[in-house]
Amino acid sequence: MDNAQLMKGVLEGCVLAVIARGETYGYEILGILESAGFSDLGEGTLYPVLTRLDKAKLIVCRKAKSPLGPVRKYYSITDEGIAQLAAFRARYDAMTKSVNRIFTEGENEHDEL
Amino acid sequence: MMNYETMKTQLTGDFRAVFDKAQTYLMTSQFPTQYQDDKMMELYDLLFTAQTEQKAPEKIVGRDSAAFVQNFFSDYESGWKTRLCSIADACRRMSIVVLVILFIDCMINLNAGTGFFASRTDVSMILAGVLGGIAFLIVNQYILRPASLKSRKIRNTGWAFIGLGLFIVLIPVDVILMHDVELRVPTAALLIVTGAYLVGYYVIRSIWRLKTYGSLRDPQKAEKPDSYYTALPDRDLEHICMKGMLKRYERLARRGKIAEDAFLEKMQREEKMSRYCDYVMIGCLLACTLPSVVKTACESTLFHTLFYIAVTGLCEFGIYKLFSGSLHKASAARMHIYACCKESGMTLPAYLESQMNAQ
Repeated sequence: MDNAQLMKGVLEGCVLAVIARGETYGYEILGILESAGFSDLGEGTLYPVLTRLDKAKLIVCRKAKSPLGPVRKYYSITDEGIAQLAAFRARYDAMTKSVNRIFTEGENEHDEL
Repeated sequence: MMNYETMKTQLTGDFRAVFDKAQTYLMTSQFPTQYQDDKMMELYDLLFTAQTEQKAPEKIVGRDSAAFVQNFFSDYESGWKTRLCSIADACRRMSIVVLVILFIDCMINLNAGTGFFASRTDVSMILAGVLGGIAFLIVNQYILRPASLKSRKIRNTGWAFIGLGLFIVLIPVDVILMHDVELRVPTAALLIVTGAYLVGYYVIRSIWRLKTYGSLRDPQKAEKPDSYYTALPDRDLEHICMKGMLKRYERLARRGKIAEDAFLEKMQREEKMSRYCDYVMIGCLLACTLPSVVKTACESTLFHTLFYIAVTGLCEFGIYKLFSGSLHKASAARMHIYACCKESGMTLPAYLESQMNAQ
């Protein structure tokens, strides 16, 4: 399984978490995700995610002039988005616990052998 | 549509190449204009910010720029509503073209002495145009688009020429194929149908806009006049005007025909003259039309005369707008330069040089 496949499932939740910190824009989200270790985001995967979240009304978008001049899209989270983020965190925690349990059990069995 | 070309001039190197690729991708796609503008604005902001912050293009775009472009536009979903709207809009555009053809046909028939209700129009060429358009879209979608995404050497302008070339080839093929086909329908009926469609389209669109936005104007379009993007073409235009003026001054000065401090006055005088020329052009258009109107009035009925005036007026107004639109814009840019020059207290050549150096 490649990195992109693994990332697909969690990217929406992570983007939502970044936007939940405060109003932000595409370039900034990209930078935060990259510094957190999402290195393969360059190939335009972020923008369809933003559109999906916007269409699902989990985030809202407003257009305003950026300090550099061009009109920029600023994203902020909605109440629905906050609820969805909480649900994602709960699901993600449960899943990582399960995955960790499998890995630990596997390692223990390996040690016993 | 936004001026993508001007946006592109603000980008350099690989950032510019990505923007160029996205532009080519849009050219070979059939996305609605609103979506295109929205996405290109977003892409421009992303690339421009990255460029300003001196970030490596690969960090933003990745290793494969074609994959980036495809991913970037992959969020477009056309539901049945969007498809219906784009079909209705395509029909509107076609109706306008058909209406123009019908008007011309009517004029020819009226001049030939055929009555308005008796005249018939051959729609085989219109049908050929539609079929040619469909063929063009198919070739665009399945051949040009994949090829343009893979290509590294040919840029947007090159693909635009390839597309144009293909279109030019398709027209004679169309005409040859439809040469023996003749489909004559009553002109008046066709006029009523196309006219009714256009009226219906605009009425429904107005009602929908009133219900959705509370206004007859699309607020998404209204955000543009105040935006950064509309200012860009003016800056370009001013730059072109300044370059032209400076060249002209240098030529005149070389021959010893103008003093530096008299150049502004000379240019302003010429500007005034060009306004008079504008009135002269309107006068000439009216003078050329009047005899033919009188001739039609003498030979035809009142209905035919009024119809003739309406069609000729519409055509001449279109021609006038076509030529005067860009001339007025350039004139406004020049007037702005003169005003700024006066404000600076410099002579016009000195002001132009300082501005050109600053850019």
